[in-house]
Amino acid sequence: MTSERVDVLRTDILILGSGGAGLLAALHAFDADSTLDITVVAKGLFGKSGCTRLVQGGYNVVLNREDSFERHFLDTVKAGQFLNDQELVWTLVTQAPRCVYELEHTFGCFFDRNADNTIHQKAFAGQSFDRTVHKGDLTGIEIMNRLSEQVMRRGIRIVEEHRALDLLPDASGRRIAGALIHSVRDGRYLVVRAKAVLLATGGGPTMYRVTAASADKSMDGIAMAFRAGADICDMEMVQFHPTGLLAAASLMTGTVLEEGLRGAGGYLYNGRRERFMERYDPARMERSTRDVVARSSYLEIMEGRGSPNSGVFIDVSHLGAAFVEQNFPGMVKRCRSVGLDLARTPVEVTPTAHFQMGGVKIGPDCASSLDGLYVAGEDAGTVHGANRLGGNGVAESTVFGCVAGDAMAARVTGERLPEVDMPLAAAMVGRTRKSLSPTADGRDIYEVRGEMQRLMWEQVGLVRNGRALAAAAARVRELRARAEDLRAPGSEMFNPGWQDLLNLRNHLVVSEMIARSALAREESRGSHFRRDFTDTREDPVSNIFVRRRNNGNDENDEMDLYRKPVRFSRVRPDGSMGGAVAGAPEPAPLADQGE
Amino acid sequence: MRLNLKIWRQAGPGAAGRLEDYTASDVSSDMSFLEMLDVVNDSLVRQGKDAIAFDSDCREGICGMCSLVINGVPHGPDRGTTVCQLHLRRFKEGDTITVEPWRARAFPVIKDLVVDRSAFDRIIIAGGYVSVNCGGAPDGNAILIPKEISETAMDSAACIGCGACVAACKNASAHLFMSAKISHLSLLPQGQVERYRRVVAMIEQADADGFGSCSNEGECEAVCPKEISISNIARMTREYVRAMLVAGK
Repeated sequence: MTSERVDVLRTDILILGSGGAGLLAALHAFDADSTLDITVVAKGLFGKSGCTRLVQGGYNVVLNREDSFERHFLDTVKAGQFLNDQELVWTLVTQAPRCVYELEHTFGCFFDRNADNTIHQKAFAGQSFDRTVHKGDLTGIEIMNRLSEQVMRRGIRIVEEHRALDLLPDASGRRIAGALIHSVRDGRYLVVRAKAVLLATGGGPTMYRVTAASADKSMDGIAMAFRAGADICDMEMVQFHPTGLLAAASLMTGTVLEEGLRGAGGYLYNGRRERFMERYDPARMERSTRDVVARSSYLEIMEGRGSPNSGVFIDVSHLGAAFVEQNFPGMVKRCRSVGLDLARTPVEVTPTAHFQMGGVKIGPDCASSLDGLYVAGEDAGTVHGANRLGGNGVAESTVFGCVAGDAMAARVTGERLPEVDMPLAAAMVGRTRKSLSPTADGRDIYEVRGEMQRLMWEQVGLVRNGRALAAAAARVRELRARAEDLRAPGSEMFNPGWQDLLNLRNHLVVSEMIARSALAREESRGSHFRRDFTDTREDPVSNIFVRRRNNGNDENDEMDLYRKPVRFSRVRPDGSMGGAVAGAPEPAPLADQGE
Repeated sequence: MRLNLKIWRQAGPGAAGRLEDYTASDVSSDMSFLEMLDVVNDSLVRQGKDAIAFDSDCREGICGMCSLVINGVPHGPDRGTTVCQLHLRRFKEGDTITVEPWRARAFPVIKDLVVDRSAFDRIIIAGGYVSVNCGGAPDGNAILIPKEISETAMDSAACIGCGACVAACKNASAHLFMSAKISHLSLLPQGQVERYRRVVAMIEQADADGFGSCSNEGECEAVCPKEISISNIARMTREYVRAMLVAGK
């Protein structure tokens, strides 16, 4: 058993998360000032964990003279149905080329080439130009391997197989001054004191029954930011990827067959061999945006026109087996591993929970509403609005990773290391330790998790309505309370059951945010579809914010919801040039729904 | 289906370990091997027992976390796959399956089936990176490379660093891992600057960490989930000899 003593580590910049955002932040901060002490914390093995590694298709970036920033910007904002923060989108599209050059020139990445040796860009859905840079269909491995080599080479401190439990404020509660982290390997606790903390843990809506994210994801970042009192927004915007593999009882169900299959001209059929997208988006058909395609598939399935295993079919066989095998080798192999031949036969797919568009509200320098806390990647919100374009995800995490690294390096220079609230840290240690009991039977952990996954999928999923959302929000809240009382059996060392319980608690907090925000948005927009409010009707369009009511240390705290109109700083939904919304009202609190 | 399992349990790095018997009953043949372990763990947790520790993350064959020796073969019987992509339909009702961690002096066991693979990180730190900076952001397409070379380089870059090559080798050699990295970097223009220093430094680090030498058995290639070719080792050896010549060591 571990001693009661908690070790303390002092660092200038603490980075929670070791995906694309975290590593680029570390590299940028180090390259700005190599005297900075930087610490990267990875929940799994360094370089091997996280979702950046799973990126298949690629990276949207304007490189071709016939393309333009304006086009990439408009594609992104239109796909996001004008819920995006347009300044963040502008940063995304204008910084992406520099970031891709840097990945090749400074960090050693190498993307696929055209016959004339220039960088190859392929078609992704929902875009006006073929601008997706890639390395075969395994783009993420190339980016992650090169970035982790660079971090190791610089001697940046890496703390792997440690999960962050919570952010720590200073004693006055006025700023974030570090975090409490916990070794998955041996159960030890470590207080990390830092001048700036970056939250880059990645999202991954794994609280849904069918999900594409990797198994160690549990929305830790957003849950921690909520508990620390940060402003979080658009949590109802969960992206469902339309083409998750359907693989019987296997967990492989839900893993994504990449967007490029539709981009290259793949067809989607229902159980009656109809190209059903004709009914929903005849102009764009299968190349429509993810929200539309996923919802259309779901509706086909719900209306009894699905495939034998309650999915739809993706068919790329008409493109030629050789073409498919050459261009999508990873996808062909993935299907083969469950006994399916993607190159020659239609393959059953299902919508799968893929990405959280919502997250912590950030400014242009990745700063959150809490002093000292920066956020980048999927933990951050409002870049993608109501729907993310394929290929904009890894662009976001890398671009904003760089931005955050630069901003933190500039900020911490000359700053003193703040004190952390040690009594609070000790209380957090006590609470976590209490969740482990050698005499417990951990039966309920999986029962609660199973109920949460079903509830979220069925009632807070692709097609929503007010009554079901209210019931789901209330039930999730009960499960949250129940999970606080659960205990995991076993030892402190490498205990998967205990980690599952800690994951579950974060999942439930975030699940409640999603259900409550979804209930509050009484319209349909992008990924959020309400059967009882099918029009995209909000005027002015608002972001829905969630914030913790008290900054105390309650285990089952209340959520305040409020809304703020989106500022159309560059372009308005009617196509006219934007600017600040005149006389924008102050944030209006929302009636407490779902209690 | 029902499977009998003999699984390596070891409480900690210094502790003695042994194979313990478990039964996976009522599992589906569609499940992957790791999902079967999840089911076993689920029932252990329900019984108030310590779950079996093993590394895994993506379950899509990409992350390189999973690292199990199944019936004596790293990543199990299927060629070119990681354990997470191994499915139970590969086994028969009532089969007895042995599950062990990677075994190599350079990969000490942390707990049960989890080993410490940081020796690989030390090899990378010794030289497995590009340090040339081509400058700010001139033209995105300034690095012009023939397609065939880039494809050969990228075949080597597919390494996910899982360590199966070491676990399969009777010498516990890291040659396939190192040579994949060295091939990849020595074929690309970005990797030229420290080309010779790299190969020497990486090999020296592997020796220091207790990895063995290569005796050309090819076991590494046979278990590699990314099917990285043993010809990379030949390229590494050539690079090494050339480095010795250039350095005049």
